[in-house]
Amino acid sequence: MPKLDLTQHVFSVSEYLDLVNELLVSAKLTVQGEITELKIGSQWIGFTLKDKDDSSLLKCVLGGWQYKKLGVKLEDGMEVKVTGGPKVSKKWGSLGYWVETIEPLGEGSLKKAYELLLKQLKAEGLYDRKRAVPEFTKRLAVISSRDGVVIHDLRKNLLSLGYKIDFLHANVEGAKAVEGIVGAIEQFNRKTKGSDTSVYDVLVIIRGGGSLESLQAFNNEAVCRAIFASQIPVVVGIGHEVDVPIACLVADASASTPTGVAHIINATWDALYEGLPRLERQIDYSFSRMLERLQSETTLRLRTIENYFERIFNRFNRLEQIVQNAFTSIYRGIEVMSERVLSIERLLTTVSPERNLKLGYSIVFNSLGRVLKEVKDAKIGEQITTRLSDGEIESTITSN
Amino acid sequence: MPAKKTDIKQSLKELEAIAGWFESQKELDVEEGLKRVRDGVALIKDLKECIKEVENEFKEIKKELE
Repeated sequence: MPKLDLTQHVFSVSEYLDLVNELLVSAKLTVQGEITELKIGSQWIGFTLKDKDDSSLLKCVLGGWQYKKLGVKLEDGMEVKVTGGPKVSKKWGSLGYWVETIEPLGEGSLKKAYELLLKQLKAEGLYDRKRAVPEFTKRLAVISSRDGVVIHDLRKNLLSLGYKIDFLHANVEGAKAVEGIVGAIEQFNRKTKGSDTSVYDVLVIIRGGGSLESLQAFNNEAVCRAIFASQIPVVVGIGHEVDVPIACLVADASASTPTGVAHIINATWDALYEGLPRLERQIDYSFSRMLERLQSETTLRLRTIENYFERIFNRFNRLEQIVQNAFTSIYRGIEVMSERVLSIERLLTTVSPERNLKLGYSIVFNSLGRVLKEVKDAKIGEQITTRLSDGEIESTITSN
Repeated sequence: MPAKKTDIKQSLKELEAIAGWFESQKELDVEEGLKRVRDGVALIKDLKECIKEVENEFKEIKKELE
């Protein structure tokens, strides 16, 4: 295909501007200047960058959504550094610079941007909401630079309480910092979205100390709003000199060092350390009381049982005594009975006629067979019978 | 055939009657007296054995309790 000779070609205005814009793509460079004629509309933000040496002017424009995303508060007079590219507007025929990034430059501008955002977010109440870092925090979402030492400081100062740490790298300085930090905050929050219980107890954003310029990302509106929008309570640990980074004010808790952040997180376990001895005492006291009560009840029951058996034993003793008495009575009865038998035996021995006859006694009967007991009953001539032990003798009374 | 168990109470009663008979007699009836003496001796013999048995048993029971 033959090469088009541009010098011989006649362009329409539109074609020409298209060509110019195409050529200008390569002019995507960084420009520095002072903001003038700042106009903030609902859809577009426009300003003119003025060269401080010769007052040269460059018209700049950016979309409202992009301005919000960049998170930098602008004001006339601020020295800024912008990146983007030039483009000729076909509608207006003027050259404009389409801004992609803006960074305030110099102490004054940075301070100005800081003050503006500080004031605005305060007015919106973003510093007022402080959520408590959950008690017994265990799951940590950490955003920091993988190249810094702060993450190591944080790990080193966290107590051995079984923390689970998920880490996301983000540049904490430079042009990509804001995008990286906001992206990481959103990424961690996405894990929690739709879940009744949060995946993380706390979101930690840390970086080391730095100048106002190097800490721009933490004085950035987009970052601050992302922190405020986080469903997970946020603890920010950023080293700073004079001005507290606005991110620290928006966060639920903040410290100036990673060690400070570690202390905040460790402190969520204080309730355990403080409460444990109290609970220990409480348990000890309650348990002792319970034991005492048990002991007292046991003693009472034991006393009841003892009383019961005492009554039984007393009754038994009484019965035993009765039995003993009965034994004595019976024994006495046997003795009395034996004595009586012996006494009767002795009586029978005495009264036994057979025995008396054998002893030499005899019995005399008259003729009528009656026993003669006295001499006056004996009549002369009467026939009498005398009984001896072995027989009888018949005789007649001759005298008395 | 096991020996007839002596009824102590009854035997004692009979023995008391024999003793009473002798104590109440004014006239001597040798035969009756002899018969009663024999009966009394027999009762006494049985009673003595019986009382001995009772006493031994009683002592055994008492020993068990102690």
